[in-house]
Amino acid sequence: MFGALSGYFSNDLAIDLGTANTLIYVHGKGIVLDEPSVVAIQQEGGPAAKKTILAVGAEAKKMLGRTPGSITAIRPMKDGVIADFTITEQMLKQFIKKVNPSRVFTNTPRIVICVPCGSTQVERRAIKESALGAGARKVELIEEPMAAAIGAGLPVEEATGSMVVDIGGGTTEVGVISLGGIVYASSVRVGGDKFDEAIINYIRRNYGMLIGETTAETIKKEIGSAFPGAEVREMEVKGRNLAEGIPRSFTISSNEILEALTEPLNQIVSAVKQALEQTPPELGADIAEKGMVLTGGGALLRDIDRLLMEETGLPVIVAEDPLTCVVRGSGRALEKMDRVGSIFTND
Amino acid sequence: MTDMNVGGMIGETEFQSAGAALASRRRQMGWSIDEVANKLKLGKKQVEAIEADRFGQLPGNTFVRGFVKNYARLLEMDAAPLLRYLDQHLPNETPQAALPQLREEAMPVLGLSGARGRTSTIGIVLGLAAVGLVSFGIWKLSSQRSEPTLSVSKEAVTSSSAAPVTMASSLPRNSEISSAVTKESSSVTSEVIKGNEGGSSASEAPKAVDSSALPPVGNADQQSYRPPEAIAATASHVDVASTSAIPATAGNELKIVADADTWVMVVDSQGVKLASELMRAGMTKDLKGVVPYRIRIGNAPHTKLYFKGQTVDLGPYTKTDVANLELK
Repeated sequence: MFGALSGYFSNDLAIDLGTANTLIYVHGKGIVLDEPSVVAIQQEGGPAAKKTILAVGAEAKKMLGRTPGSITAIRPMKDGVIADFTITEQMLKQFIKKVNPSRVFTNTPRIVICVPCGSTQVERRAIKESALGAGARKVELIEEPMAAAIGAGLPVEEATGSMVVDIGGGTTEVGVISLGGIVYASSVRVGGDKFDEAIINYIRRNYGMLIGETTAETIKKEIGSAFPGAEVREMEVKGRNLAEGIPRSFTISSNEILEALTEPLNQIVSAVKQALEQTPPELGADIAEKGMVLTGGGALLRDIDRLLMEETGLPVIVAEDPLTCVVRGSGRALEKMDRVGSIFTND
Repeated sequence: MTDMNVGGMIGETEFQSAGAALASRRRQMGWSIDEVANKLKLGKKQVEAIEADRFGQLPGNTFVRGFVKNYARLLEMDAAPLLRYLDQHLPNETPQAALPQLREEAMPVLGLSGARGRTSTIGIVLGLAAVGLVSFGIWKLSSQRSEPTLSVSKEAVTSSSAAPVTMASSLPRNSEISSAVTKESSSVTSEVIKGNEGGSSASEAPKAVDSSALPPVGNADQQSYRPPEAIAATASHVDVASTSAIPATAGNELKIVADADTWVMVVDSQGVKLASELMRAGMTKDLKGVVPYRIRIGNAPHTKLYFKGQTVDLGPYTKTDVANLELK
């Protein structure tokens, strides 16, 4: 009774604590926050001086790579897991405060939070403790492929195999789901960040130019593609020439970016192929009929579905609004939190 | 509905269904169903189903939308009007209406610091309340249990009075047990007697030698091993029920034989002093009353006590020649 009463006064949250973006879904309200997982910290004085949080989210992302010595803009999540525990906790606290302003009679929320299926117990516990430290009353963990599948509208509860490929910022999760449970799941630490990194490396190698992460991300969004298309697009990019040390601009084409992305894309393709190999034949037949569903920000990379289609020979569809699939799925799980147990994972 | 799609081939008037639009565009481009199926990695039947709007034959709404989107892209059409058509015509689906209803899993939570301070305070308060409730329950339970003890002892009283002789045969075998048990009870009994008869004077009595013991050996442990308040309760209970119990005193004969001068005091359960006098050496006394008897013998080593025809060993009850005991 106490739990029901306190639940009445609190807003339960579902959080997709991603490497690139953090999304928060509030029970009954939908997605209320979608901000980059970036924190800007100001430190005045020596290394032992007190650190204060200057900005979180979009505001802090603008500062990435543009900060003076006293300010550091950092991304506390790396490869889908927490790289900096304290800052992640602070970031979560700020986000939760944003969506759940403390009022009289407001209880601490229950939180459903996503974890990559390949994360270790230590990493899961770290995420859980961060959420508890940020003011959660109770924390349930849900594996990302499950959340993504629910969010994409796959029939996860039916006795039929559904395959989901969630390409996030830090990890790519491949999951085969049937009867409300994960039959096969694997996680490779390749995602949007690795794409950016590959673009930075390619440009440094081939153009002798150094570009920042933000620029690399822009290039990826503008002209990045995973499969050679009929049309070749070009973009002007500004960076620092390594030989001269002077900022210069140059033009890069979509075919070059495709070449740059080949390696991380191949890792995703092989993860998908491995999942298909490991899938029991009955479920494999279901997947052959329906195909796989792409979710996550990586699914927005142009023609990534065509790449997987050609590589696997299976139909591939991109979920609608792939960026929010995971958090929507978690939100749906949150709404049924009291009734469904199996979809949550033990840490 | 938009006037024209990207391909510019299908006007609003021509647009009847998503499948028909796709099929006409495909024919316009001169592709066969097989070619399309091959490019989309779908089955031929699936492509036919899409073109005929037979969405029931396709895996589900999510997939239908995805397939149509892919098909439209292949045919270089704008997918938006097709998807809007699907929104209106796809069968309603409640995708996760039946998420598996499974057992409640208790998530193990480490006791860590942080913002759980409030929760843990509530937990402590609740825990204290729970402990209070439990202890109240135990107290309540234990106070109820003292009543059954009464009834048991009453049974014991009647059974001991009803069958005085039958136990005799088993005596030698059980004497050890009985003595062990009565040893325990003696301390209890003596306390009771001290409490009730604090004012009575002590005296000497001959020592009891006989080691045959209390007759209802089987009941001995039930009767004798009871806390003092239970004994007191027993006494009062028997007291109240004395009118009915008196006829049963037939088998309650107590016989005291003094080998030397001894003070003897015997009080029955009703508080009647059956004896309170100095017995001279060689004197014999037969007493009858309502059990249990409280007996004090001043010179226990030189006194013999018989209860229901059997000798009572005074040894275990004797302390510096004075024996204090209770017999039932």
